Amino acid sequence: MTYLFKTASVVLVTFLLFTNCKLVSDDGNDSQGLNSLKLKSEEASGWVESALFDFNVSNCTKDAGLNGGAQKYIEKGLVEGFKQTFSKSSFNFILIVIDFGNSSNANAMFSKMHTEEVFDEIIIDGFSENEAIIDNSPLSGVDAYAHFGKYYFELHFTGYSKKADAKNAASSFLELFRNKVSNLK
Amino acid sequence: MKKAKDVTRRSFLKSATAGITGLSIAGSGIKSTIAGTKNSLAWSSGDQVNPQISNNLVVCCHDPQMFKNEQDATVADTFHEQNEVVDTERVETNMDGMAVNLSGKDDPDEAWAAIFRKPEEKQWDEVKAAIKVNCIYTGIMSRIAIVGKVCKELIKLGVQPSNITIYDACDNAYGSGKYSPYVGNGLPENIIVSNSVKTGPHIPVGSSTLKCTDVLAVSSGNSVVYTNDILVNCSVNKGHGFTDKGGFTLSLKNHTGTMKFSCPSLQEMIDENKSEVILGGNPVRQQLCIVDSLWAARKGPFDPPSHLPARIIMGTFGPAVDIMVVRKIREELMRASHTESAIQTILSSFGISENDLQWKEIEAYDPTSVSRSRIKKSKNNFCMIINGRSKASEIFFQVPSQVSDIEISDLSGKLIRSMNNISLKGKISWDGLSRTGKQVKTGVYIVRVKGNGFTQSQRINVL
Repeated sequence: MTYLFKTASVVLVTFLLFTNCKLVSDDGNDSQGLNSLKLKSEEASGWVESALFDFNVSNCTKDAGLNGGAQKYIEKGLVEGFKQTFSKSSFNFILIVIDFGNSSNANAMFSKMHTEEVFDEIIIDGFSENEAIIDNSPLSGVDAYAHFGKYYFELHFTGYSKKADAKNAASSFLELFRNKVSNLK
Repeated sequence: MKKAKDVTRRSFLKSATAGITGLSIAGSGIKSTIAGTKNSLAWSSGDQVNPQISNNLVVCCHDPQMFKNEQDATVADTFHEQNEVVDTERVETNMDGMAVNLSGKDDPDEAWAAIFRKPEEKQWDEVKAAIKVNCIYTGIMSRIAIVGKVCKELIKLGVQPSNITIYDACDNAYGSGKYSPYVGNGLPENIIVSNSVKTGPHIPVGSSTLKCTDVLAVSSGNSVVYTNDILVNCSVNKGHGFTDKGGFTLSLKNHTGTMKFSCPSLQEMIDENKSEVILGGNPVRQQLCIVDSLWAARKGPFDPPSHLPARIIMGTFGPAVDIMVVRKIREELMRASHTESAIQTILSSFGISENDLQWKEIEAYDPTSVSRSRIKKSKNNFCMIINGRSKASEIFFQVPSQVSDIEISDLSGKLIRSMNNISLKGKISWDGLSRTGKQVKTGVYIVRVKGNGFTQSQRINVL
């Protein structure tokens, strides 16, 4: 009887330990981390948020999300993400941040975009070209692609008559996000 | 409970008959369903969209002055800003030129009348027209000057504004599922602007069915009713991450978002474009494909413009338009790369030989070069000059010889106004009123004059 009681207790305690453990992947799968990467309206000097859309695999194809372009992200392991749009004077900024579940997937997404979507490459001071890159091909701004940890970033800046200003904005935001991700660990 | 040996011959025959009857009814239902889905593509190689215009002809207008200011156009990155920069009048004039070059007619009015055709059994005011645009990203959407021109030409032919729907025209990225940037921005009044993605019935396409938009078809009991008579495909020049479908999104890809889940296979995309709602009907429903390439994006589908081609492209056959835009603009001008195997599959699926495609590039269109040819001479050297497009109060005819009768009728032949047993020469004005004293509706009318030994007719647009 005593033996049975002890065995049951061990089993019960073990069960309780497991059920109270937070299940995480190797790099963590935590929506709180993703949410902390969202920019608040006017968090970055003068950029006013005009839209926010949270998405996952089920709804990322919606118009406000990734729409018809969602498939390439799904194929690389999209877990969840968000899309924010901002404006500042005549400038516009679209931010897409995606949790790919692990750094390997995020890196693979970055590599794909680097290879297939960057037509006029600019290496950013302070960043490895395997970590972040700018595409100077848009008419009125720049696109920036990056991955930090398990997170993948796209930044689209438009409305600039001076490309240098768009590049500077992209660099600043990339630095901001690299620091934010680093502080999550 | 009866055991098998307890079943009498009569009861067996009864139940067998009932069973066979039931199977027949069910079978016919199944058969009609199968008939609806098997081999149900409306398009076959060699079919012509328009008997007067070659499928293979694609017209491009290149005119940087369609922008009011090129510097402003370079930084214009939203739909609103881009529309502000576009010179609407210039675009509309150039589109007239493109219509002339596409149709082979001398006169823009005749050109548009050759491009847009209605079912024989309908009057123009009964015709339903739809314009497919694409609103996935504010910086790369079909501009209002182009879409508005299509609306205006349809209205001139007699289509009621409330029977014209611009669909897939709402961008949820603006924060509201129902907001459309086309509303209240210079389009003719009473045009319907709709989102309408995949809200209609399932229609047969190849060996499958697709959920369609209710702008093009609706359910009626167990049947599908194709409600749209004229479809205009107004796409933009942008790329796409779907490299299996070529890596571009032009006329063909424009339909996929409103016909199926956004990731069809290449063959499914091709089949969608051969379906009844697109290339079915008599006349063929999709009668004009336009690619707004004023701005263009190498990437896509929601990337900002990377080029300022200052071009508009037009043709009657979507695959031909797409292939020529890919070759002449995206590859030659924009140095974008595409999946060649997908392009070859599109060509072979639609029965097109790339060598047969004709690319006709024009510059800014000069309407005065046509107006002289509008002066039609009869055998008696009679010339009637009409101020072709006018407000109803400003219409006049200039007749150099004595005329005895003038009749004005609508396109259906109905007499609107007449002056008979007269003897007039020179400038004759029409106040735009019908016989009953009512102002005539906007549209195309036919003026017929008779004189000594001659009869001549000419069209006039009442704005």
